[in-house]
Amino acid sequence: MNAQELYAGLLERRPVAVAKSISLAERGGADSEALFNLLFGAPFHSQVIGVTGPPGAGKSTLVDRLVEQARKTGKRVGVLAVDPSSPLTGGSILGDRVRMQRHALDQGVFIRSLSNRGHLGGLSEVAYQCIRILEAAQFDLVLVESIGIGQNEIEITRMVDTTLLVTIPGMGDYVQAMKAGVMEFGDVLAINKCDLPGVGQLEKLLQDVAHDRAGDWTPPVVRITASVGEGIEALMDALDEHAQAAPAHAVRRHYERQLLDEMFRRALLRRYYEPLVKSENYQSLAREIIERRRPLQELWSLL
Amino acid sequence: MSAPIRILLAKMGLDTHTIGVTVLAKGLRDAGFEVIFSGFKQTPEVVAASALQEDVDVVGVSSLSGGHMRYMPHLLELMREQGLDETLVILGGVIPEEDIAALSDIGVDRVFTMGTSLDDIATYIRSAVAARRGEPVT
Repeated sequence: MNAQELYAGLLERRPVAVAKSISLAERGGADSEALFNLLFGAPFHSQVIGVTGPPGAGKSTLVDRLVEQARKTGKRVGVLAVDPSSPLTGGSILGDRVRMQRHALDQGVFIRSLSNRGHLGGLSEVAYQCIRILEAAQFDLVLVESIGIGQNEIEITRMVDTTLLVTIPGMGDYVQAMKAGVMEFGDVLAINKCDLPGVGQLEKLLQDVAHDRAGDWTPPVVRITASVGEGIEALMDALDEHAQAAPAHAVRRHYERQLLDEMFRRALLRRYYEPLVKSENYQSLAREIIERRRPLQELWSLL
Repeated sequence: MSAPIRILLAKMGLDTHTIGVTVLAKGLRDAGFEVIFSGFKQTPEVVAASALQEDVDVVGVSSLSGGHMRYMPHLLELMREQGLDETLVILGGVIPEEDIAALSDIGVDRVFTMGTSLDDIATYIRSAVAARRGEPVT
């Protein structure tokens, strides 16, 4: 299927079109750009929530519960579950799906596992294209589950409407470490595994972090135990409240603007910079400048 | 460079012998594959739906308790219904020799019996997927 056919399939909400479009976005190339051009024109539709937190915090189990909750109100839900790839072999085990398999036959749910394929920062564009694919297919809620803690998390927070940070008690020290990183980004802070000791202490700490946050929005701290489905309704309410508090899709609009600038920069490089630098004129002049036979100023005469 | 090969690993029915498929998952990861784990005790319906959503190149089924002649025909039928004719289907585990011809007839591309090395499986998948993608076989 080419970009036009895929896009038509997305508008008809066909699962196979969603699956093939995501693969195309992952592969990149001219067809992928053509699809992205079409996707960019589609209006905002989805509430996009990024779910992040340290490994083992229960992100996949929570996503499963959020899908369950959203389906109760008839919302169609798309899930993107990102797992890391090995820097050595490029291989990966994508295991988030296991926790959500009970939704596999629900026509209103689409789940896709993504490997970050060793992208350094580049993950963001592929992930955003995947979000737009699900949005074009009219999923009301899009959940993006991302890997552990680190640079990628911050990438994710830039392209979703609401960032949900999931933490668990009993990991004392890591909380300190997170303060300077991901803690600065969550719009809603969830404490999972509230059957473990140390919940009160963590809650107090998170509330402090929330109140120190600049801006109009004070992130709510919500207690949950995702494994048994406790606190999920209250968490969903907090997520909805955040979506309604901020101007619609403000974060994503900002991200798209930066993405546009970046895409334009790359197009300029391809069209003007690369041919010029490869030209004989530039190459010979550069050689002579290095050999001190011509002054550096002459380089600027090529502009 | 060609896109990484995506493989969905599945176990169907009440088969609880999970070590083989776990070893295979790690082995294929180390061989550079993207391995999607679909969980244990799944139904053919769930496996087919997962294969569609994940747009995998390969579906790999592990079977060690004799359910393969029941589940494989059903799985292949569901995959055909969903247009997944191009997806490579492999089966591994405790599979009696006399079942292999019948499995091949219904569309199982390759059966790996006990004692197969990880290298052999990875090599087979690479060349079979390259052929289906129309890429040169390395």
